[in-house]
Amino acid sequence: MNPVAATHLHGSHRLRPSAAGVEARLALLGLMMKARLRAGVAGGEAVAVGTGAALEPDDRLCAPRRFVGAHLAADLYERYPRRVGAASSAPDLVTIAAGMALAPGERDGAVATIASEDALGTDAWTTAMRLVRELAAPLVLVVDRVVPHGRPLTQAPPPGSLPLIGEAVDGAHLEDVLDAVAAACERTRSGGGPAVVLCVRRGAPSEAPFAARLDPIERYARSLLGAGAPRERIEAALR
Amino acid sequence: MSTGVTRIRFVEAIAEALRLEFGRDSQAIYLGTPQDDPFAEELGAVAGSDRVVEVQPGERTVIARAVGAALEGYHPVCRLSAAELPGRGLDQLVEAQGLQAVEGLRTPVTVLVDRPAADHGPPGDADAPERWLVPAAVPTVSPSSPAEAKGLVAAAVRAPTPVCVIVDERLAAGNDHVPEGGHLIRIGRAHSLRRGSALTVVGHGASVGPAFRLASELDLDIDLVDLRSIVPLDHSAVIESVKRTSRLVVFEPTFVPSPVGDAVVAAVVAAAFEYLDAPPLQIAMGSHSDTVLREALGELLGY
Repeated sequence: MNPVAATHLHGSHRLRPSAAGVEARLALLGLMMKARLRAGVAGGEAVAVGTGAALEPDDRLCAPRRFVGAHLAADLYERYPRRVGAASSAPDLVTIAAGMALAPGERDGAVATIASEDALGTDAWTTAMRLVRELAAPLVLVVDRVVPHGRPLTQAPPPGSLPLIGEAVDGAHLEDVLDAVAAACERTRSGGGPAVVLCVRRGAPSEAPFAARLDPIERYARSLLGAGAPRERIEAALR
Repeated sequence: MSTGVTRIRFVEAIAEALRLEFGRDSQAIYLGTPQDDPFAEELGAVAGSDRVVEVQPGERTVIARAVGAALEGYHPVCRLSAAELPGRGLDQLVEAQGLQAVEGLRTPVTVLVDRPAADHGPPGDADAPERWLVPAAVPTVSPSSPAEAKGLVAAAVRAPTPVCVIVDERLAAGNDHVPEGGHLIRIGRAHSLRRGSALTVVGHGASVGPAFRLASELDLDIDLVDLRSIVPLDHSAVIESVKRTSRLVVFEPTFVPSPVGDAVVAAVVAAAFEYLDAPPLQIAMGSHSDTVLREALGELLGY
């Protein structure tokens, strides 16, 4: 069992049941290739890939480049015309993402942002969380948590720092991230308000389990083929 | 287009500029509380309540909300006091400017920054927004009269980047002639108010009026330059003036040495050092503007 998947955040909701569709999984495969998520790599790019694949064209991605990774940045940001932060070196863009989500007028998509857990707890962060919650803003907050070795992956976030409905997932497990972010986006698009996905992962890729040191792209392509995804689309994603 | 002139107060000139811009631009919105903010109340009445986004007093993320709205295609205007600026999103303004400069994203946020009418003598005055805005290189204008306020606020609303407009309370009650109708002043260009050959006096905001009155009263042979925009600075206007006069006084509305005065002096020293007959001087206006400047100019010009 995934050690963190059962850790619910604020409230008792689990964001899923619906899993992301085939299109999102093919996008995930393509982004894995662009990010060069080869054997043993399970860093921040994994969180960015899972998040990026979950977004739809009307969604906005508002995240500093550092959370996306140099290999991935060009493709991920180009994939979304409504992106913010492709060249930003800011520690986080959470408050600006909250501002985008709180902008007046009709909205046809979610605003997703990626931030480090280090950003939690500032006054601006706390105010932004309160506002997006009170005003039911369509914000999906993906938090990248790196747990040092020797500490349990199930460690709870600081009290009150993530006062949104959401769930924790294994940040090194791309499909878990994809499914959780896709469900969070679906929730916000349908007016359900903001949601958080806490991606928990170990810092050093060398500590990834044996299975993760196998080529994840090849394994994932095989599993998609087995699930009935069109071969030509898989080959296109791998190019 | 300007059709005539009328005599109104500084704050009324800002309100008129906002009214005109909100009438011209359907994407312009105001972030404020109608109960506490006269601009919000008036714009809500004139442009419609949907053009005023209510933010709670003391909301710390007001600038982030404005930047977010700008990224969603709006042209937001908000108002803060100078002392609130660092704690309420100066970093977001800097980030917004970076998003515009590096990523080409439009971030047209106008921030009206109120400077309270206290004694601004001591260095390090927390009510001096240029202390934060100049080092952060956030585009900032410092209007010196109602007409300047009207033209510069209109330009700020139309700019593709964040622009801060310093609203000095010392100027708020004063009235002056203002062009009727649309009035636009280009950001980044200084304005020569008086031509002379003995000395260049550079000011901005509240320091311009006293300098102009003194020069007129005593018929001084000075070149008076209103910077209008303190970020970016119109270096060439100041340098050209110093090349004619060979002497420079920066007359600051707040404290000295100030980031604005330092930038002006640095530009002149770098580009026109050989033209200078005396070291450049920075003078703080403080609360006794006429006396301070009169004494300094008397010493420099020997009258």
